[in-house]
Amino acid sequence: MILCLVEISDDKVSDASLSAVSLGAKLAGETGLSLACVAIGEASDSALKELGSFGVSSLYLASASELTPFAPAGWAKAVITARDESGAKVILGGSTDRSTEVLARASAKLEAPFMANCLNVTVASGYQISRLRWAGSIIEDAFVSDESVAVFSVVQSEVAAPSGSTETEVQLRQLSFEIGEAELRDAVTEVLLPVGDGVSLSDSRIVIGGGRGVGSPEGFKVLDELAGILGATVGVSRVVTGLGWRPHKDQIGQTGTKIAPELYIACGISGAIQHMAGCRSAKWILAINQDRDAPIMSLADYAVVGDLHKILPKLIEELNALSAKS
Amino acid sequence: MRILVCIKRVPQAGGKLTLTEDKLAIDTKFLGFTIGPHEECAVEEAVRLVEKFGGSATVLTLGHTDSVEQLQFAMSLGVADAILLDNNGAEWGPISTAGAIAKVIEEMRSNGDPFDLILFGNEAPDSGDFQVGVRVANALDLPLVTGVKGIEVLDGELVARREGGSTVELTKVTLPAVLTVKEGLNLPRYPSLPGRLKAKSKPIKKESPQEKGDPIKTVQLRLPVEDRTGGVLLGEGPDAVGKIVEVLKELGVVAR
Repeated sequence: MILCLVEISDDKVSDASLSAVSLGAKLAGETGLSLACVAIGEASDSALKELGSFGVSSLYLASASELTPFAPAGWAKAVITARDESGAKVILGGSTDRSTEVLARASAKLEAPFMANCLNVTVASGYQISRLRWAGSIIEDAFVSDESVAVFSVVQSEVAAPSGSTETEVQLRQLSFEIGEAELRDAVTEVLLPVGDGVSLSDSRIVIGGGRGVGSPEGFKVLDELAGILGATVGVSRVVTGLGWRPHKDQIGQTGTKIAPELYIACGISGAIQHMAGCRSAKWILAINQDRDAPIMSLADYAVVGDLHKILPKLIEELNALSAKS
Repeated sequence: MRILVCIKRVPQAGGKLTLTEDKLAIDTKFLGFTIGPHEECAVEEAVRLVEKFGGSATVLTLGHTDSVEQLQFAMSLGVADAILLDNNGAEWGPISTAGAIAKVIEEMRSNGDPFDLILFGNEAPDSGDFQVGVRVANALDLPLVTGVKGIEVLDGELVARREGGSTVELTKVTLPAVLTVKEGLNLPRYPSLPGRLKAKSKPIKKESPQEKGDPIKTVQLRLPVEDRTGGVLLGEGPDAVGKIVEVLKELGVVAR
């Protein structure tokens, strides 16, 4: 049996979880083992149908109310209980913060190896895996020797809708296990809604990034102005937050926010690997930089060499003239 | 408060990474070394908590003796002393690493020096295993909060704040506890010259840890195929603005 932790919210299995289910379905096909899932909370008919389309045979569900919104030790116990009942040797999950933590906790309890951020897993008297290192700047091919149980988190990718008519009826199995102090001592005690200030960086359609080349906190005025005209959000590189010019929540990169806009306009940003790890999902990148040899200039779809403080004011002028005309 | 911060020496990479000839490691010939951004915040937080509540902070790493550089960096910021688990620079997996760290903490506890708070970075910048802190918490049977971006301590209790999607989550735990933290928790200070001088005379306790063994073996490292191949140089200076506007129109960002 292959077991896959899935996160379900708003009647939908999360895309991150579906990437793991998809890999689970591939492994099930290769090994002839069946595929089961485990989830916490509720499972709607539509979520079950979605899992069924991947050939999932059963869903182990832990629906005790103490486990929501997030009791990671309790969630890990749900995974372990489902594993004990199903006899699974392989446990998969998505690579969200929550799934990663729960898989890591479960593997620690099971004394099993946990391989994070896998691109692929193949069963071969053990497991051949490819996984991301350095936030995706390096891929590692590795071999995991045959263990009584092995745990993997799967990098999110675009999951193709399963083909054919393999849709199976998913059997719902309620998990029951004791939930005590050990499961609840580090559970989330309160959920706060953020103080809203418009569209978040990660959801923005257009992002304007500023790096060291912006020169000063005041230098961002021109980026803010351009953002106002284009309906964009301003983000920054790590240098900028390190200097205290902008708060960390504006930071794009490996240890900041990952963005996926239609257009990313990177101004005065060199394009260190840690920054690119956060913006490589942008559909188009336009880079403005004084240094034509900066790494970002050879990665961007469009590049302009020059001082952003000379270029952006003129661009703002032209865009304003354009909108005055129409 | 007695605080332990666990850090890892990693190559200071910014540009494109290159691999060694055997493809089993990053070529570090031309690279300096550092600790990850998450860990910088862990060190800063430990120092701030000690400044506020008294007590002392200890920094720990597992690795080569060269890691003394990173231990001294942490001590230059105000950490009192250090522990080096010297494994001669061998690549240990997360099971062995966590096992060795948990053992030291346990030994110190039974010798009358227990920690109230044990801090890790949420994940190492190089391996990105996301689990050493989790395994240590499990081995010591302590409460754990991961991905922490805010800490408040009140009477033996700690409230940890983390960001989840569009919400903020608070978790209250009793001490002792293990936290893995993320950059953004604070804005780390830079070491002062007196701090750096003082760090050189602070004690570093060396121990030789035992390797448990991880069942994972690297076959090879490779660089991902770069899907961004670069494109058009639109021009230089303000003269390129006309071309930028054309591109913005083409992409549907501004109306034609």
